[in-house]
Amino acid sequence: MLDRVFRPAGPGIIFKDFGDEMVVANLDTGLFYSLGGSAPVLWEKLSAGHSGRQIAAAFSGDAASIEAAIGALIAQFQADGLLEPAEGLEAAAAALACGTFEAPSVERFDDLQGLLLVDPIHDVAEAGWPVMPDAPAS
Amino acid sequence: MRVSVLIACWNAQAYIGEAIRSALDQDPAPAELIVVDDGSTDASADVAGAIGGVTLLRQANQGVGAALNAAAAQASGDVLAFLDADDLWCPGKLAAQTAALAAEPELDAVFGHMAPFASPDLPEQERAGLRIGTAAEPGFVKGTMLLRRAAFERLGSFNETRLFADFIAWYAQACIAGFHWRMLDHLVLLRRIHGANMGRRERPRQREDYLGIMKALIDAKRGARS
Repeated sequence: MLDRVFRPAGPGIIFKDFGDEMVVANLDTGLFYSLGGSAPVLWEKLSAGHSGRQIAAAFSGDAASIEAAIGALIAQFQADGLLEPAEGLEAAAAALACGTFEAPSVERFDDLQGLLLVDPIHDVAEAGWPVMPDAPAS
Repeated sequence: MRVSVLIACWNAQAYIGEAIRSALDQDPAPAELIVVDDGSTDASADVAGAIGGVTLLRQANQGVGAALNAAAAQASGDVLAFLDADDLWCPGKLAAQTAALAAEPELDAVFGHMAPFASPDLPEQERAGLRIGTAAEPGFVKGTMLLRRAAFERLGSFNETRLFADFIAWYAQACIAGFHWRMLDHLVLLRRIHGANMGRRERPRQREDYLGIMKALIDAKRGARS
């Protein structure tokens, strides 16, 4: 697992780094997640095509325990449908420096699940409502 | 129980009349029906204003949240019901939901089930490109919700900046404030699938809104715990 390359598991996976935490949402399950500790860096590097082993090597700290933590996190991301193996892709070549490893944390939320799952269509026309073509929202 | 029906409308001339009639034909009929035309450039306002029993308000294009807040400010009912200008209520919607609210005074709101339907004017070619379900499902949308006015005042008005996720933004803030609701089994809403549902151009903005709403909700839950 640590040598595999992953990618976000489809267009229903959205995420944003808010500085104090990363929020990742799976619009296909309606669940969203708060990532803390080193989990935001791990998500960012994994979704950019770096292998778990590359990322582990970029952290300072005990290599074996870091690899174990990263392996567990990848397994969780896969189980929750957030990441999928990117078959046929080589791990990204760029050198990484990720600083000191902090135990990753992942908190899952289902508060909006019913609302996120009711989108009636998943492929729609270019035109839409509400649209304000001449007055972009501020 | 006096029901105020609130409809925000933007360029829905082909559908607004049918939407309004599905609300006015309810038994019992609503006490009032307020349409806020949100700067339409088509004949939506004319169509709505020509139907007896409709209170028509007009505003420059500000988005659904601002339009619904304007409608709510005008409403005189003790419960608020919402309907998108392109959707349809099913017969019996208000009867079932007013009875449910009357039976459970501790509830702020009730929701109901909804089902999608392909608009008759949807070209066959487009229909073929869409995956439109047919089954009724729990309708976590404002069009199925009947909400006590007092609860709306306590839980807060619609966010006027989350233009692409107005109801999820409202629901999230309502949850933070303590929102008590029940999902009823009744099919109460038919959602029209047509060529102008929120399109690809809006999806990135909608997703940005979603993530901002999620972050606010996480922060609020964390604050409540500490």
